[in-house]
Amino acid sequence: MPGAPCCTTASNQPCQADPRSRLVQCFAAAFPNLEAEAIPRAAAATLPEWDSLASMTLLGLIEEEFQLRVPAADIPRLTSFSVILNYIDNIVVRGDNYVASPIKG
Amino acid sequence: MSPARSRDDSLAQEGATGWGGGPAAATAGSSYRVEIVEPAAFAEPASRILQDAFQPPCLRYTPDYLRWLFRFPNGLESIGVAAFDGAEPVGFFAVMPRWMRSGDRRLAVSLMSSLAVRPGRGGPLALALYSRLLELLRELGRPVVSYVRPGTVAERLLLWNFARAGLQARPLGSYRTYGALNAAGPADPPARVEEGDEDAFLEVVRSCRDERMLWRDPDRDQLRHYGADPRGCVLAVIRDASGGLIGAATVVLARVVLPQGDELIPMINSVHLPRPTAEALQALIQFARRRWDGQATAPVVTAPNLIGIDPAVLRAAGLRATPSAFQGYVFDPIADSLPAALMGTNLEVV
Repeated sequence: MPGAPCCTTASNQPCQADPRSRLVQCFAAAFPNLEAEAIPRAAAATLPEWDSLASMTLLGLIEEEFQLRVPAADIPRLTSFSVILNYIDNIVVRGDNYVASPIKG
Repeated sequence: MSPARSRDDSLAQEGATGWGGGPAAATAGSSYRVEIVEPAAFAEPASRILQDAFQPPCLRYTPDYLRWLFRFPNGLESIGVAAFDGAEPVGFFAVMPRWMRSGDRRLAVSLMSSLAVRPGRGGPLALALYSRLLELLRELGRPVVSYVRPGTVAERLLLWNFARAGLQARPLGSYRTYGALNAAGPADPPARVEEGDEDAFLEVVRSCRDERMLWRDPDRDQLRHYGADPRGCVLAVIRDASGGLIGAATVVLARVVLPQGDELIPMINSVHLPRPTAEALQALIQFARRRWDGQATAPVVTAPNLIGIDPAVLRAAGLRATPSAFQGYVFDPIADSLPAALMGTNLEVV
């Protein structure tokens, strides 16, 4: 994975940063040429760099950062920063670990 | 607006495991839908997706050919997943079951082929298709064989997705396509080829027991299915000068897409040669050329899978390596269920 993006997940300490800023870091690592202010508007439909390889990198970073495994059924929907942030916001925080819950809609 | 060319477009639009997935062209904020489909029933849209995604040179995946591929009568079902953007099919991945032999053991494997997404459709589309298909393959528990162009985006995605699914990859050899322009050979060849002898074909198949190879192991119904290949396909058995059986193969009139248009090219597949010789290969090449004489539009005979045969034997038979090559992989959901010595397969590259 290019560039350790966000909070360390190797320690047992819960991450203090909010999910949004951590997701921004994931996007910044997956799309190094993307301006920081453009990240919240990033969408696969409009970002030429968001190809299959970038998706692979991004998914790997998100799963590592948030200590979750995205189920196959949820992957097709993850096509923009805002959708992914909403997805992560729908994940329930329990103790030190995030437990995935189904995406709505 | 036409989407910009991406790494997906430039590196992976070719081969058995092809690619067309560039940056996504879906409406911002939209998403794809992935469904399980019956591959033969999905042949029409699958054909369009495959032909849009693969760059020449590649096989022509007509709907008839795909239906034939997905309907092998082997008691096992092909599996397909398709992605849709609204009502539009934009991606298709499929696996076909095949019976194989390793030593004395007969086993079913899934041949992963026909993987493609429409050009300009990137984003998470390929990952979504892989994830869904690999869920199904894990449930099946069969080894999965895949051919992919080495060094491509398709290869990276294949390996990453299987690793994510907990299926470890084992390299299964490098498959160079060979071609023969002239294999005149002697007037009285020491080997000769006969067409269509099912009993002889099966006898040769049963004699292939080298555990380093995963051998194609068709039964009689499957041999007859080869005869229904819409491209044209015949069974060939090779005998030595004394009439002894020394080999078998299928010989196809393949439709290949080239930049200048389609060509009909004799192709040798599923080669069963327990003890390969130049004479046996020469006889096979000559047979392939003669069999499709008047129909073939190119003077070359090709063979995409001659793994395990000494390059000196291939040269002596008049075969020359082409730039086209695939890397084989096998993914085994059951650890160590395949022999450690396994180094290749004679399964056709489709």
